[in-house]
Amino acid sequence: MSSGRGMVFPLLGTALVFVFALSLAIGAEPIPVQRLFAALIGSGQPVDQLILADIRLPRALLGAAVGASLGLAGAALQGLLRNPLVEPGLIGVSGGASLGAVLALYGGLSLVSPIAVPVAGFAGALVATMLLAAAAARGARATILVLFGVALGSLTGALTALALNLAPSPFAILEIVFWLLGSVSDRSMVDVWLALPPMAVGWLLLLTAGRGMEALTLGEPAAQSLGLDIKRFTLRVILGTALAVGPAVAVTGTIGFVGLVVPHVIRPWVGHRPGAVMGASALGGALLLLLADIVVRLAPTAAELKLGVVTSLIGAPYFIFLLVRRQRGAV
Amino acid sequence: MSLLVASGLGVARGGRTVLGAVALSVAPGEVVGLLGPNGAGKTSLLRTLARLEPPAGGQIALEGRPLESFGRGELARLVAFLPQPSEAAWPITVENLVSLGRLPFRSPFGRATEADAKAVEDAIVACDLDRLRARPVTTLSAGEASRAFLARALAGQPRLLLADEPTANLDPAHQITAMTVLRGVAERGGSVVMAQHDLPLAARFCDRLLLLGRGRLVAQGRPAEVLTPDNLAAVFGVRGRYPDDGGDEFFVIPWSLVSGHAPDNIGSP
Repeated sequence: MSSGRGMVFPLLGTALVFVFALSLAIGAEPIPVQRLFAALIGSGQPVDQLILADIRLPRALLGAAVGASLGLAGAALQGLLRNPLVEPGLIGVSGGASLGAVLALYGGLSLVSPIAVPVAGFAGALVATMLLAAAAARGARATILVLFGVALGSLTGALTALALNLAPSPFAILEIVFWLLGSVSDRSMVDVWLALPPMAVGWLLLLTAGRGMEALTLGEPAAQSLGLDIKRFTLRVILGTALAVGPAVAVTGTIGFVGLVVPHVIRPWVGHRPGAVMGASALGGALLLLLADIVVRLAPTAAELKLGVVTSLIGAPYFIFLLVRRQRGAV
Repeated sequence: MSLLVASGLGVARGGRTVLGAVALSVAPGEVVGLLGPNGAGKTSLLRTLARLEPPAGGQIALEGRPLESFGRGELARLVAFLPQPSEAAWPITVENLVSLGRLPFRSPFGRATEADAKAVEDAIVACDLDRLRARPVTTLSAGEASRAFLARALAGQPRLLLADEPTANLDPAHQITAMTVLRGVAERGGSVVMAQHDLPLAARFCDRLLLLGRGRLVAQGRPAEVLTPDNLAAVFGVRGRYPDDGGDEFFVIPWSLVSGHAPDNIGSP
């Protein structure tokens, strides 16, 4: 089995490229491969180029980036807390992003500018991140930080519910609820450029934390004796998670289960080493979200399904299946 | 020259001082046992020596330099700490677990070198783990797991190994193996400081013992000097049986409670 482990990254990478291309090709107006290539290098039909640049490309890029963020952040938090039940939504940053975006929708700012919602969502994520980072910088332990995050999440959840409660019109409620369900459709390259830079910083912070994750396998005292600065490491992982997930939620709404399920699926493939789980979960998350978004487009429903609905619909039963199978002794 | 010297050392647990005015020194090639009842501060002392806790007063010097002057990585390459109980958070293989002991030697993103591989291999062989190397650590018995964690600490080839009850959970054969392995560290010039509850093992395998009780260092010296009937009664509240087989190797077996004597009350001076 260990000889197969070296293949995990190339396999996931190849699959990702393939599914990304598929995501560009599939939609209301299918674009065959030759036309896709022609459009990508700028010599295709104007319609194809328009569809690609304005609709498909931002959608696929966001799907991949958001999926990678969720998978990576889930693996990082699980590694930090040495607890497989943790997921990125738990630290309150998603809640902060949701609240910011919902307030923008509530206040009708979305009518003023198309980027008002993601910008407000990002501001919400930023406030939550700064609160968490302040707690982490004061040396709070990882479990306390997550409890803090959970409380933050409850508070933002309550405020979001309040906004729904006091919403001026049924249309505002509908808009808010639909946004909360999570989607990457009808997004533009502006959304991509808004979300990608902070996400990339978050990815960098997390992907360079591999050795610390490995050391933490032995518990905090032994990890410390191996040279790990627990306080700085905790701060790095919390900040990295917030930077990866905050913009993702701000741009796409809440997409559940990816951050929880992907590391679980990936873990046995890389021998359970928490450093390797992070990188592989980033690829796996991107792959899963792109696939789910393709399902969304192909599903013959009257209203387009929301991505968050689909990931949970696929994710939850698969997760249960996985747990039952492992319970039966297959490690 | 001593490898490790502590003077006037105060040791705290959870912000409360549990040991005061400890003076100790550990020479290269020496195996030192820390004895004392539960709560006497053995683990806290080890944690302080490993710089996981700040001392509540006094100084610690390693190789003649103040302990706090060492960089994190530098200290990690010299000193290994083996906590008890040790548990792995993830079901990684024994071989991967042992390799974690090499982390302080790896450059960022650097792959394992030949020296790393050799140190891991030596540790696996020394702890009798060859058969188990591909097994997930979480599927091992408690004793097998203890050996894997000991091997992890050995893989760093530390100058100073601080081990908290390294023989807990081990069957008699593996207790002897583990103590022999720890002696081997000393024979190669390293030093070992271990917390021990097993008096016969401590007496047999340690060069020197430190007896902790009532918030202070009660006695230190060669095993026969420390494990006297008076000390056993005062610190543990037990009477020991000493060998009368005429052999020249000293050991003692805790045998019965001293009547009317409550064992030391934990950590309170």
